[in-house]
Amino acid sequence: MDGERPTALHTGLSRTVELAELGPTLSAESETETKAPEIFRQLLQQAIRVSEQANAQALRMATDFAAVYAREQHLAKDFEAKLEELALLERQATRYAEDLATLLRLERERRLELERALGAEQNTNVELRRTGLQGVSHIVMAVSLKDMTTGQHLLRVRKYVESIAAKLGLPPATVEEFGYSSVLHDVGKIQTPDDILGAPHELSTDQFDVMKQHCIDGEAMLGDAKFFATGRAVAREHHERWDGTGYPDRKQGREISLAARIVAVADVYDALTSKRPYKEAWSAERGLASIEAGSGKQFDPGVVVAFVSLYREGAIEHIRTEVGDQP
Amino acid sequence: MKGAYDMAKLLIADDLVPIRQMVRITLSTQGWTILEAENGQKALEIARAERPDLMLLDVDMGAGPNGFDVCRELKSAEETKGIPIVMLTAHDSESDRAVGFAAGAAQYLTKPFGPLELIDTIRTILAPAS
Repeated sequence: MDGERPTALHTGLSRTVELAELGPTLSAESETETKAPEIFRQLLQQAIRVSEQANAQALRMATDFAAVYAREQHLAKDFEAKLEELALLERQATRYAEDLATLLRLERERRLELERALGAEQNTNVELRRTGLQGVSHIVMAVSLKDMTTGQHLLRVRKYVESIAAKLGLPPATVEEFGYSSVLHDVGKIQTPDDILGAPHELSTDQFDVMKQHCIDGEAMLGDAKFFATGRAVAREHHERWDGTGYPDRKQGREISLAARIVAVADVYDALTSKRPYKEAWSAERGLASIEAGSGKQFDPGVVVAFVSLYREGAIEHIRTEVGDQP
Repeated sequence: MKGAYDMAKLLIADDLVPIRQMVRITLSTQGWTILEAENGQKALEIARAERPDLMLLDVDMGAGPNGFDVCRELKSAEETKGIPIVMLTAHDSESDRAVGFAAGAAQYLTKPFGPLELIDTIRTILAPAS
């Protein structure tokens, strides 16, 4: 029984039973003094009740606390999960932003680099063209000083050539290239002896051989720059004939470059319709008739068709009068 | 083969909407069709029904099978074991990787992932082996 007591005191529900057992034991020990044990019993009961209530309170509090704690912890877990999720998304978004920013930066740098390169290339091209065109005018000036060919003759030839090239449907860049190249057709004459250039009569066979040399010299003079490629062809081939009887290489038909075929028509027409030391200027109609007569023999028929068409439009006469009729 | 590659159909399984959006936007730049699943169970269902050309699998996707489970299950079935699987997860430990590869994953990408990294990984897997 003694051994049960501490156990019983710990279990709330069996307490009443235990106190009932406790009572007789106490009263049995002092049967005469009933008052004191009764008071003690009551005090003890009260103390136990108080302690019981306190226990219950504590238990309730503990339970409540546990419940609240559990709830809070659940909340905290959700919260942590949410935070983690947010942190993950933030890292993910940051990574994307960084990668995209890098791509964007690289793309921008690449574009700037390209623009710079393009700008440099354009500058180089512009400068090269400028150099080339200045070269053309210097050469032409030098030839004009030596030959009786005038700048006006060259200017008319150039304009005829550009008109014919455009009439043939060539792209503007080619039209321009044929134009500046056409003025170079006689550059080789800078090396032709004055007595042959200025001969007031028909040349002897030997002299004519020397004269033919200006085509070869002209081509050689113009070096190997791409800018002068058409110029070289024009210088070499402008005395070739469609039927293959020209000089210096007796090329025929389309073996002769288109630029040279056009220059041939323009050069001859302008020579015919200009005054020369050894002849008067022919009329436009007579010049045209001569060109038409040369079609398929001296000249490319296609070029002659374009030229005649321009003539009928009045474009050829317009150029002739605009530039001036001086030899 | 080339045509199949250009018209590839991909499935992304991830419980987070923003991740799925990111992946969809990123991969649709390649002309690929993107299917989405928000958990492991859905991923299994769509994989069986649609037979995607490749799958991206998150590991933690809430209740139900996780990414590793999904991977193992698809690899164990004859009709789905040919689908290449790329794990796409914040689990970046060596042991997690090992689990992923053991489950049959072809590649293992960790979050945060970059857009090019994602595209390149998929391209490498989809590109016809030659």
